[in-house]
Amino acid sequence: MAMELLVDAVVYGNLLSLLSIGLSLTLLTTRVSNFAHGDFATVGIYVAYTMSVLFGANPYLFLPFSFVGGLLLGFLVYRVVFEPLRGKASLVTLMIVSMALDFILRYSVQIYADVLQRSLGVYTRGIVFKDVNVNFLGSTLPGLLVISSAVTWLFLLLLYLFLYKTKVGIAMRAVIENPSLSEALGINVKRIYALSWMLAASFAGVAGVFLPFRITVNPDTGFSILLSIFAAVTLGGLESLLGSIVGAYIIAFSETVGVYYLSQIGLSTAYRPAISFITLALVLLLYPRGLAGLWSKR
Amino acid sequence: MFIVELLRVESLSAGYGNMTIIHEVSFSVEKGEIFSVIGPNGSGKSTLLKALFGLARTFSGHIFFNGKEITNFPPHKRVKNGLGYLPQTGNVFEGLTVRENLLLAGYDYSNGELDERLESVQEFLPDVKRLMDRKALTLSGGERQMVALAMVLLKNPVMLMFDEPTAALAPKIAEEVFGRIVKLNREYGLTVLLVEQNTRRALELAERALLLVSGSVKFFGSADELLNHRDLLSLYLGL
Amino acid sequence: MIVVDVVFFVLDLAVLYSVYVILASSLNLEYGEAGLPNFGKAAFFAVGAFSVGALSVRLGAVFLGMALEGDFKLNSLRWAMSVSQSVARNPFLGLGIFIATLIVAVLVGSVLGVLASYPALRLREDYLGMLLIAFSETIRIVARNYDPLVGGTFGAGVVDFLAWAGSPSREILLLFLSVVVAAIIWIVYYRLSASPFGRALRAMRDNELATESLGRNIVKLRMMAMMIGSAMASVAGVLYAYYVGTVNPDDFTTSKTFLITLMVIIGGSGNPYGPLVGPAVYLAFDRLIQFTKQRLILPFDPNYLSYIVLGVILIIVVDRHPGGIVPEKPTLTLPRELRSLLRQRRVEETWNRK
Repeated sequence: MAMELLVDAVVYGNLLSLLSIGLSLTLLTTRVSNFAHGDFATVGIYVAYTMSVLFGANPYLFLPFSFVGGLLLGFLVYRVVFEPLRGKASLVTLMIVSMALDFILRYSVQIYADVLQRSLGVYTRGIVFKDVNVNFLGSTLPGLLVISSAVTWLFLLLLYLFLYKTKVGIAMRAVIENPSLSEALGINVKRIYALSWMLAASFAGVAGVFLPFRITVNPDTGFSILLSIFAAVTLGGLESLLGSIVGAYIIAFSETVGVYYLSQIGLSTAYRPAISFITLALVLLLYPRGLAGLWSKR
Repeated sequence: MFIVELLRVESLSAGYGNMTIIHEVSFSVEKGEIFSVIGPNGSGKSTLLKALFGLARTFSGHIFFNGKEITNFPPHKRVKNGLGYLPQTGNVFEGLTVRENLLLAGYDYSNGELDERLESVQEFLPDVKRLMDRKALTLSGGERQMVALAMVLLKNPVMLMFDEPTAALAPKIAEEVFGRIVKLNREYGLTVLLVEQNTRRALELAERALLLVSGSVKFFGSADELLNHRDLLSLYLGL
Repeated sequence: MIVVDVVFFVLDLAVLYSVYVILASSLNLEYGEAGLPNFGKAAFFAVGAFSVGALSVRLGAVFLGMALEGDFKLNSLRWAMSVSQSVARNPFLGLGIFIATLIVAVLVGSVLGVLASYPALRLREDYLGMLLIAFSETIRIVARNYDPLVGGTFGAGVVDFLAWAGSPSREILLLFLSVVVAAIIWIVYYRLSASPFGRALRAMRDNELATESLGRNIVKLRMMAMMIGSAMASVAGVLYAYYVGTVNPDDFTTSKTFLITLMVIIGGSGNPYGPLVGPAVYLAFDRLIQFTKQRLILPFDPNYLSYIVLGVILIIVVDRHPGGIVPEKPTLTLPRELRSLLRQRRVEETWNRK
């Protein structure tokens, strides 16, 4: 039992950290609290699902497609929706715009699901992916654990290398800190912003592919985990990328373990989301800097 | 001897949002000189520099620099044309190391070019070398100024605009800063536009000057003349 | 019968419009006038509805001396029907239930609103929005899972307090009631907006420091705005609950808040006529789509389209005409330059936070 719990927590943590770091990134660069972020993951799910249905292969193989789909989506969303508002809209307005974007994306996926079902005759709601077993270091492990961990940590490593070892990455950190100075130095801030959205959406798309291996997925699944993502980012510290990763694993473990204990004391496991919401509320009210406030000097 | 006008400002009105801070400001800066802008607090000196650099909104008027009209250029284009700007704050990336800061200053350069430029800047500011791996946040006020200056110099400017470079610095360090500015001008031939609170020093170092009060020009001409102009100085600056 | 169809169509439209007008007015008051992004709106809407859902049947039983045995979750619909039967014979019972639940709803809503105004003191506006969403979802989760409240996922049955009036008088009365209540609330909102209180709210929205230095108590202003707004939303919840006849927690999701927010922005968040326009736009599109769906054969459920259209309209409005369809009219008290400087500073603060 404990082993299963641990595996579930780790997988959920992997997923959540990919999602949180993307949300954090777009928040840091363009100051948008993106309520459509969960829907980026949903798009990733349906891309992988469509391909796996069309080609009859395991959805894992289509991770790259979800990744690329995310890149495109992120780029489009930034250029069409948020770039025209640069310097013109307040923080709350940007949030509201992301709400509108959530409606657009979420219900477009609903329409897509209907159309796909109609045209291909497959079920497009209540999607579940079947996992494979992987032989790793002599034992048989769930493929989801191995693959999600490998992918997540690879992506996080690549992101780190990008931000600290490449010129464009360092420029992104500079833009996060001081856009006008960056602009003055000749850095194309618009392009950096677009890139941050592309990264956020593509990470989310990839994370999405892992979801149906754990839970039943519908067009609004991405939206339904949005608050856990916000909780993770808030817990970690809204100004910190590293913080959101830490926050993600803590939330993931809390929710997974918490659900187990909830059932032990007779409360419905459906209270699970409350863990995130309460965490979010407590952090914002008591210590808004989040965990990052503990290690950051600023 | 040719006197070349490097910067000419014609009837410039600028500010933020819909608010005009500087009204119909006209003046010019000659190549090779040190030009000081003085005036009481809130007179719009910083806004003038921001407008010249492209960070404030220009409502009317023209700015000519280095042979081109730059009135509508975005900041990085003005930088490319040789305009350097050293603001009071937000002039370095605090979360980045000095090395990373300098790398970003040389963003447009190829690796070879950057190394070359870096070397000559380090010649002028040798202390930068030992600060390379320090996070900018950990630097003292004077050290930060120096790094910011290094970053601006990397861009090979023809004219440098300083916004109150000695504010919040100890007098000894302030003199070092003035010394550097003079050296940049006399030895390296950089034209300098200096906005300063320290009126006396600013006018002593400059050839010509501008007195800005409530966003309007009250005097434009010889710095010596202004320094000796008891009435103006006491009226507007309480000196 | 066509007449019945028309009556129901008009009733449906009128009640929904009334409910949304009330909700939009409340958000306009809180966000448009006072600058408080109350993204927990669905929760305050829910409070009104839940008061009805939890109490209408139980109160009815108390008044009738009826004993309720068994699980609320499994029996509420049945109990609601039997109480309604009693109401059919006794209009005062219906009235009593209605008024009692309304009072409870307004009280609880107001208190909750006051509580919710406290975080506004310390939080940046977007974080406040997030907190209120978290709050809203927590309430929904609790209602969804704590069965005795409103029957969990089954929902709660609601007593038909107009059971004594036969169709179509019942429907007409309900329509009348909704429209009148909405009109009253909107007029109250309009009056508040034009009053010194409204001016103080807008001043606080635009520049807290200045307002405070002029002697206005920011904390009290916020509290009042949230209290009134929440009470309004609660009333909307009450109307909605009695109209639908059941109360289900899943009707009060963050999506509902998003919907109302979009209506407010599209209508015009600073203008008192905004709450009349926003819901009209949404309902117009929605009904239009419903109407044409019978004529077009689409491979998907056209209901989804109204959300997408609304989202697109909002983005266009924010980009091209940010004031909304009816933008805020400038006050004559502050000079235009100063006002736009204050607004610009708010925007600048956003983008140049360091």
